[in-house]
Amino acid sequence: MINADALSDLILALVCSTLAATYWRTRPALAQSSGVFAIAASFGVLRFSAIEIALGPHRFFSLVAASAAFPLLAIALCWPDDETAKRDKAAARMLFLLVAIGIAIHLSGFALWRQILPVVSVLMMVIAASRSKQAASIFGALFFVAGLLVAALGQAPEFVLGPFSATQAMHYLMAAGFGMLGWSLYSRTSH
Amino acid sequence: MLTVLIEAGLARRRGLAVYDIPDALTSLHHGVISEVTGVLWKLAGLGTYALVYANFHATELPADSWLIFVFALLAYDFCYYWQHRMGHEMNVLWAAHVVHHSSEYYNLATALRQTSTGRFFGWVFYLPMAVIGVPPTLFFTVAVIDLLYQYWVHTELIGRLGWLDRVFVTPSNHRVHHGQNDYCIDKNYGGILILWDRLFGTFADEREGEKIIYGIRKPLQSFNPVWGNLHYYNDLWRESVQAVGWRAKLGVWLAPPGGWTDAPLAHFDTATFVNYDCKTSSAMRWYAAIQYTLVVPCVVQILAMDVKAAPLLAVLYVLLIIATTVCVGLLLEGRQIAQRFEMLRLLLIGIAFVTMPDWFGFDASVILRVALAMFSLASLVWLAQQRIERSPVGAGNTL
Repeated sequence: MINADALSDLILALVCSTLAATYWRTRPALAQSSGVFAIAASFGVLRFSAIEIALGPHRFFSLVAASAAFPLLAIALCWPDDETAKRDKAAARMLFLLVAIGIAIHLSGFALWRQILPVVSVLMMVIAASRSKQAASIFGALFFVAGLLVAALGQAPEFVLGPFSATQAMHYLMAAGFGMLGWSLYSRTSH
Repeated sequence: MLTVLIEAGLARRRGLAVYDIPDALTSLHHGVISEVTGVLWKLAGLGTYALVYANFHATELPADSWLIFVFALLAYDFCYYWQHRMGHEMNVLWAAHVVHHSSEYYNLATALRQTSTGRFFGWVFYLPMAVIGVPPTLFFTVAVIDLLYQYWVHTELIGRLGWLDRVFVTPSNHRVHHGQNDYCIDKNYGGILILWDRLFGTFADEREGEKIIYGIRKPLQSFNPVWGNLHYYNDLWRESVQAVGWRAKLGVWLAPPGGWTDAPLAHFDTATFVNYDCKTSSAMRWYAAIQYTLVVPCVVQILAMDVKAAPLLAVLYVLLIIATTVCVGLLLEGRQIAQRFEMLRLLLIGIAFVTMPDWFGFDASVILRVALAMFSLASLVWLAQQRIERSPVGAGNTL
C-alpha cells in the first residue's frame, strides 16, 4: 500500500503532469516548468515507496526544479508575452541555462542558491498575481509561498496542516499552488 | 601530427587543394589552446560529472561489463548529438563551437581546431548519464572513444562508403556538416552514429556535383586563435548591448544564430566564394611551422604537469603558450605589430630558458639550453630582417 509521503508526491505529480499536458503547446514555459516538477515528484513517489534507485534522481530533479523550474515558472507568469514564455525552444534553452548555472553553483558549495531562487521566483509570482487581481492566481501564489515556508521551517504549522509531515505539507501546498494556477489560466482562457 | 602530414602528402600527390599551411597551422594552434586551457579547468576543479555522479547517481553500473560499456557509448553518442545540435542552434553555445567550423578547408587539421570555451556548458548534456549511474571512469573512456572516432571523418580524401554512410558518421556525411551550402546548414550532428540525425530529421546526404564550401557564413578572416575563440562572443556582446531591456539582452544569448525568425535562411552562392588568404610568404610559413613544432613538447609537458602543485606557474606557462600561438598567428596574417611582439617573445624565452634553474619543472641539459638560445637568437635575427606586409584577399563571399 502506498504510504503518506508517496501519496503526497503522487498528487503533486498528477497535478503538474496535467498542467504540463494542457499547456504544452500554448504556454511552453509554464508546461516545461510543470513538467520538471512532475518528473521530480514522480521519482519522489518511487523514492518514498522504498525504491532505493529513485533516491538520486529524486534529489537531482528536486534540485533542477528548485534552481531552474521555479524561475522559469516565474518568467512564464510575469512575462507571458516574452519569447521565453511563448516559444518552446526558447523556454527549453532558458531551462537549460538555469540548470547549468543552478547545478554549477550548488556543486560549488553554495547550497543556499536552491532556496534563494525559489523564494525570489515565488515573490515575483505573488507580484504578478496581485497585478492580475484574480483570486485563483493570488491564492495559487500564496500556496507556493506557504509551501516554501514549510520546506524552510522543516515543519508544518499544526493549526493548518496538523496531520501532515513537513514533506507532505510542502507537496500538498505545491500541488494546490499548481492547481490554482491551472484554474486561473483556465478561467482566463474560457472568458 | 603524422596523420596530418600523410594526408597533406596524399592530397598533394592527387593534386587536391585540401591544405593551406596558415589555415592548418591556425587549426593546430586552436588545438593547442584548447588543450592548455583544459589545464586551467583542472585547476578550477570543475569535475562536474564526477560530482553529480557522486551526489545523485541512481545506481552504480558496473564499469567492467561489456553490455554497460555499449550502453554507455550509445548514451554518450546520443547526448553528444544533442550537445552538438544545440551547439549550432543556440548562440551562447555556437559562440564556443563556431571555432571548429571557422576553417575554410576540410582536413585532419580541422579536426584539431577545437574550442577552448566549450567546457562552460558542454557538461550539462551528459548529466543524465551521471544520474543513471554511469561511473566517471567509464564515462571518460567512452568520451575519448567518441572524440577519437570523429578525427578520421575530417578528410576530403575518402569518398562515399556505401551503407556505412547511412549508419555511421563518415567523411561524406560529416563534410555536409561542415559545409556552408544551403542544404548543409544545421545538418548531420552525429558523433559516431548518423542514425540520430535520421531519427530526429537532421540528416542530409552529400550531393554529387555540388561542391561543398567549408567554413562559416560570416568568415573569421583571422589566424589569431584567441580571436578565433572570442569573435562570436564579441558579436553577441555588441548585440546584447544594443538590445533594449534585460530580457532582450539575455535573449540574444539564448536565440539561434540569426535570431528568432521563421524566415528562410539567406541563399549562399557557392560560385562566388573566395578563401581567406593573406599571401603569407613561404619563408614565414616555414617559420610558423617550426615554431609550432617547438610548442608541441611544451604542450605535452604542461599536460603532464601536476598543475595543482604549482598553479601560478601553470597559469604562466599556459599564457606563454597562448602568447606564442597569437604572435605566430598574427605573423601569418602579416601584421607588423606581430613582428615586434614575436621578437620580444623570442628574446624573453631565450633568456628565460638559459637562466631559469629549470623550465617549469624540466631540468634541461646545458646542450639543450645553448641550442634553444641559439635558435631564439637566429629566429630573432631572421625576423628582424623580414619586411612584414599585410595583403589579405578573400573575404568569404565576394558579392
